[in-house]
Amino acid sequence: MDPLLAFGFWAFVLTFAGIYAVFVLGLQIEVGDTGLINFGHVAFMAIGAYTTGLLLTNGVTVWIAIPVAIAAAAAGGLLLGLPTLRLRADYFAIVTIAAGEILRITIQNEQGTTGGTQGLRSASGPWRDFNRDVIDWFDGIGVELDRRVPLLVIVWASALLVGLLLVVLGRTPWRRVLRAVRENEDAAAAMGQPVFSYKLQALALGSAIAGLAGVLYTFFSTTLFPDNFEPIFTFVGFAILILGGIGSYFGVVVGSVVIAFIVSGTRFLDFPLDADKVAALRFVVIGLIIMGMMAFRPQGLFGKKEELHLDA
Amino acid sequence: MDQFLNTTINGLSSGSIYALGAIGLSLVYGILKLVNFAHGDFMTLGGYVAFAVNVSAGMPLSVAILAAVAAVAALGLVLEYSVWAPMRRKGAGIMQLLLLSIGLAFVIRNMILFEWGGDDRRLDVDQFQSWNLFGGVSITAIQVTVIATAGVVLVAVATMLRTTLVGKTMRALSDSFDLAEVSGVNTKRVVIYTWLLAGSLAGLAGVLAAIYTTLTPNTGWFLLLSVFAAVVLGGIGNAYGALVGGLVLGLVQEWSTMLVRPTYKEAIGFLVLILVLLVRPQGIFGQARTV
Amino acid sequence: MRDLRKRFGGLHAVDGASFSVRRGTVTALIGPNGAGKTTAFNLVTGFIRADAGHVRFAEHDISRRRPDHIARLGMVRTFQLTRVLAKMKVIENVMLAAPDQPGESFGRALFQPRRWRRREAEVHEEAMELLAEVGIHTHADEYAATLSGGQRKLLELARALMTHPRLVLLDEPMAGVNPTLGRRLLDYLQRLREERGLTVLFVEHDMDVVMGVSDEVIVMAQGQVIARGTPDQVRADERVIDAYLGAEPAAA
Repeated sequence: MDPLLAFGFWAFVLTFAGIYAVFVLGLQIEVGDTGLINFGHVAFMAIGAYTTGLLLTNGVTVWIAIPVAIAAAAAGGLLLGLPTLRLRADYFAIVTIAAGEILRITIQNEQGTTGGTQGLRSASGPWRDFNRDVIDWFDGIGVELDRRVPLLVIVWASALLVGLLLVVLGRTPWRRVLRAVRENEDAAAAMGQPVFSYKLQALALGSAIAGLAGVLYTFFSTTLFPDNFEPIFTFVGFAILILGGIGSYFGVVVGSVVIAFIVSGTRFLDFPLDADKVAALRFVVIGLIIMGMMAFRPQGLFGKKEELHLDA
Repeated sequence: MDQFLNTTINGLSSGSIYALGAIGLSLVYGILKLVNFAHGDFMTLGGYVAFAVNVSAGMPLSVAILAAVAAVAALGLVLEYSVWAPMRRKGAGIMQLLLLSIGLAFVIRNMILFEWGGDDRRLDVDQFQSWNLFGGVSITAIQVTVIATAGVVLVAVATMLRTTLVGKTMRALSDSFDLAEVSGVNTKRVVIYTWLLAGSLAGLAGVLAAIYTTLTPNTGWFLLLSVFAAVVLGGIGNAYGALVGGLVLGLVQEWSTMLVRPTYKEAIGFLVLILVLLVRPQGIFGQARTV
Repeated sequence: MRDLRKRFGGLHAVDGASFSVRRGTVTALIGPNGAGKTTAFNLVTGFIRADAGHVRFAEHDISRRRPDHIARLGMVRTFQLTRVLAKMKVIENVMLAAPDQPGESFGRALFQPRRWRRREAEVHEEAMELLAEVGIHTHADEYAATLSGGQRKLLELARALMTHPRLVLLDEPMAGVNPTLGRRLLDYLQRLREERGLTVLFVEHDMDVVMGVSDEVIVMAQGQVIARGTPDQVRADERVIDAYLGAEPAAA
């Protein structure tokens, strides 16, 4: 196999994994730390992606587009959370999918603005040029870079930064309150903790991170389609969360790489089967992973059993 | 007026499919505390079994329907014994079961994809026959089939729930499992009946959906959120509520097309869902509980 | 002296009950099972909303306030069926209750590490002291899930006291706790009353404890207040005797 082709392939898979890692780190704050089961998480990624895309295609500089996109996603989280966070956990889960789908259907229908099902083309704007410039620069100093490398580096740098942020936050009393809220809201309230406010903060932060994933996705995918932001995306995210371990940030990274490999990486392995059938089997495997984990090791690969809060 | 009647017919068609799906989902949710995200894929399976019998094997639609119903009911029972009961014995909580059902949904859906491929399939029914009732109001043969079949079954189920011992027990358990268990009810038997009922109705709903729309591995999954909406609308655990909720949801979705673009009608349904959860989370028929 | 009053009336489980608790007293709330005592607690601390009536605490009308708000105002409760944070460590359970923690704010947690680390050390020390006071400090680094029922009661007590409350409502604080330790706790509570002016309202079934330690006793039955007064007065009150004999033949 052509070594360069193999590298390009790996760059693709790992970039995809990195984007998922950022996405799921946001989910981890909501689910793992605060106990909010948010099945609509992909909607905030969509907000981040489409905001970036729309701003860039309208000539806004990337330095403004990115923070605005992240802020928009966070605002979306707040908007969703304000009326719905007081609901019971399973109702909240259902509401979040419903909200996410409403957003996606709206994006799909407002063809004029978003390109609808035709897609928002060239959403990554000047990214292509920037990418080329970077490659050329390295070329100039004698290093031949695969064209996928800059994005790979940026994606994982982002994942690392977000991970670092969460680890730092993880040691603070702030996160301790989130965990208390997850654990037993009444007890937390009895201690004077404003439970609702903390849930909202977690949702806003998680959504902002999802928004960042959306920004990265726009650079990765260049054309945005509403179909990319279906609930399946969130559920695969949950698969990563479950595999890596609810509560473990390192687990998110490992889980992302494994699942990304399964989803897109197995393309190059030779199976005595039709390509379509292999595609179907991939998701059977992911489904089995979710089931197996939930049945036999609900804390995931790196989660702590004592801190598992799913059995409630 | 014509538009109103036409959309009403459309609403009753899709609504009865929702209702069939919702009753089973609601009872399983209420009695077994399982938010079954694989329920949509049960429906899809029903559609494909019917396809296999009706198109691949060339048998009449009625046989196909029976096969679909039986197949999904059987699957429900198999899963209960191999997955749900053991997990409950382990003390699995509602979220754990929910996530497990998501994994199951992936598995079922993709095994269907594996077996039958992703192309649109159609069952062997007359796609074009329709009758003009009066003025601009028309109804298709398919709609008649859907509404008639669903109608008969829904009435039968409603009667069963109301008059038979099993039915009443199911309703009681759905309200409070612990209470019913203490009062000496044979919960094991009720659990079996619940899955039989849920599976059968899901299978039927899948066949009707396949007839009414097209059959793809995603058919049931796409319907699932609307079915959830119907369940919530009627009150979780309340079978009558699910029935009414399904019909109401179908009607609301179709009527909304008189005001907004038809492509938005699903979104309208989800909006209704959110509003109901915010304003009256116990649904139309539920009793106010701590939410 | 200003009165620290709590007066309320609600419906159903609590049917038009009214009482007030004076500041700096140890008051016992007694009554047969089902009298509405825990419901009263829930109503007063904001966990349930009353259908009618109101609650006043230290010049504030708290009838419609959320539980966390009420707790921050200085009225804190424990639960009859303990609600500890099982998947967190014992010491964390207590530290969470400390007021004024800059580290609990997102912005300050991220950007002012030195400030909150200092406070964190203080909180940690105080938490250990409280745990020692209630006798479970050896379990500080274990997960709260490993504690026994009685130990959980003690943890809830430590947690409640950590908030530096003005009024603490204890729902059966001695249940499952061994008598010597229980005695020690009551002495501790009385000390707090003297040193800090802590007001205590507790639900208890053990009559020796009630009579020995309370300044005042309030008796509830069937959702209403049927008597109040000093322990001696209440003990001799016919209505009280009737209520207990009628509802619980083996009481007191």
